[in-house]
Amino acid sequence: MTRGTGSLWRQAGLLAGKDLKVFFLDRGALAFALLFPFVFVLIFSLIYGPSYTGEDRALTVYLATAEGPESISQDVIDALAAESRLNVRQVDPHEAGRALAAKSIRGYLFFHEGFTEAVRAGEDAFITVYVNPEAQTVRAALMSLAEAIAAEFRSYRVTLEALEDLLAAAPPGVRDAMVKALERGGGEGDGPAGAGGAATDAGPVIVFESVGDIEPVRTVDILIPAYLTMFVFFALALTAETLIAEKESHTLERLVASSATRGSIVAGKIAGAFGRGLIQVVVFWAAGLLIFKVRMGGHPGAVILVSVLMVLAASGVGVFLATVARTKKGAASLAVFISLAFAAFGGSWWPLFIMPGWLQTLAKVTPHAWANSAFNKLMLFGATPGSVLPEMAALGFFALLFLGLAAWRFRLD
Amino acid sequence: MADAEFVVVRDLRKVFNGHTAVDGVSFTIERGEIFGLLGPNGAGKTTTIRMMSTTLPISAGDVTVAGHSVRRKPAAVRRHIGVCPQELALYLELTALDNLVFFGRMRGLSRREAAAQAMENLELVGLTDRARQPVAKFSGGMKRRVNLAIALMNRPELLFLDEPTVGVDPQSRNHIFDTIEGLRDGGMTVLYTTHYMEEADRLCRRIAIMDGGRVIALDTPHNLKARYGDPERVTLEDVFLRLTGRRLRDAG
Repeated sequence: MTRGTGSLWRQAGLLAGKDLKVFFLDRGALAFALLFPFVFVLIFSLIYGPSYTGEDRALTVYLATAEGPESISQDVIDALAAESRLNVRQVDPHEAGRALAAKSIRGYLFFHEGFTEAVRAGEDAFITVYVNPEAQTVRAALMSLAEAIAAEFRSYRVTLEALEDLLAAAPPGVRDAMVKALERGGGEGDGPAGAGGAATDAGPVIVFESVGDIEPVRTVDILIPAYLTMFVFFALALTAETLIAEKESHTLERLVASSATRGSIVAGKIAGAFGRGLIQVVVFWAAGLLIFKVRMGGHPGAVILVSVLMVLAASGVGVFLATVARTKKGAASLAVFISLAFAAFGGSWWPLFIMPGWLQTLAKVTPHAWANSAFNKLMLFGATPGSVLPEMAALGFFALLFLGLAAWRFRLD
Repeated sequence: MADAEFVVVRDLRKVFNGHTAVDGVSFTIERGEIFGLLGPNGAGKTTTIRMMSTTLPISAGDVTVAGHSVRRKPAAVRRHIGVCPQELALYLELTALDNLVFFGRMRGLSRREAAAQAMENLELVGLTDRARQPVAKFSGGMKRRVNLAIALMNRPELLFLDEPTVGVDPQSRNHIFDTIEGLRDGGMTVLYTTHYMEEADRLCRRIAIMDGGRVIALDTPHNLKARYGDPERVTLEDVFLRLTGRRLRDAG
């Protein structure tokens, strides 16, 4: 590291430390960022009750297939039924349709005829989720299950293609040994290599780490991450106001006269905002776990990673807003407008999965939607970290976009 | 670099959106001198100071401080200067000590060096006993003294004081005067702007009067007064009004 960049990071660290100190000394800001959100959580917990949809019993997953007993879809159903944590029932497709119409079941997952051939041929194989529109939880659970099944098949297909390439490139002696080893593995039916059906006759063995651990959706499991998202963005959007206050009070000019560079000031402001956001994350999850008994799902590390990426994106938005607004009032107005609009649109006021499909698609222009989608998947539907990679990538993209724009647009004068 | 040319301002210009705020200003400041820059509102004093202190880009001309060009080596210039802006550039939530330590550390001082220098500066401005109180609770005069103390954190050779006594009571003002004279006696060079003519008369060895972005007079207070009569009877305010006229100036 050069002396110049060392100085830059040192100054950025000092500036961030100063901002954090000011944050801790400002009781109003502290209350707004750390206490006020829990007022919302409490109020809405009371409104919605302990269970978000009023579904207070464990859900039964109904599965139907148009294929016969030797099909891959039947193997999938059998594998799911063998999963002890799932309450799975296979139903006849026609009976399922009638039961859904009669509202005696709330939804089911259906494997179309030709599913097995399509999987074996490497073509698109279809699974349809039929659901009562009023049963939001069931819809979300079945969608999540269908996505998980599709993801498993996709990953097996990639593995098979890689194996085929490897076999084709291997010397004849090695190839024979590999084929024998694969046949042994496939025969035992204990790994993905035998799962696709394209290379062997063995049925798919689907490993569910936590997918399908379907229980009634608890209100706090939705509200805590939703309001974390909303208030992290809200508080960090107000960073814009503090940055403009530095301009208006001429402390920014004083910093420049003190040898602070544009780079160190931007980096320091972003780091300060990021630090404040991380404090919010720690307080939220700590209070969520200890007071509200939130369940973070099977992968709490992934929930934390999503939180950190969200804070990074929010820090970028906050500093970017400071480059757009000209006055403190303007910055505050912009921060409030953006925060509330994004929160409503992005699933912080109501779960994304109860919104119409087209609105869910549109909501993806907000970082909130990606964060809330990841939290819902991980915390409500037992998704694995791999299945929220698109959400994480999107939050990373938003972070890079806004941090880049902020760095590019920030001016000292 | 000779002591007589510690600061050299040469044909300095600043143009904002077609408006010339500073129009070919030139002067030199000797090492250890308190140099006054006077002028009505909108004369270009603050713009000149901001260019000299590297915080505003120069449109044309140049300034050298201790032999370093503001245009070419702003970072080198910043090591020699301290700036006390007209506004109270302070973090009101922080204590006086925290403000000083923060700006000292931004200047490259270690935590220990900054703390020691901060206490020294607070003693200089008479605020040792209030060091650990939030600046928000200070009176206007005390805030002004903190503003000055911050500017001294890097022990500058050249100190810019832009109207440092605005809105303070006579006690604080006299304390600030004493501090400035003490700094000068210690060898510090000071560029001082004010609207209070008696302050300039008391403190400054030489004075430049600006109007319309130009320097219209530059001399010692005695010589400036002598231009218009008996220096013992003519005041600097008389000189100022004769040079700049009585027309009201509302520009900032």
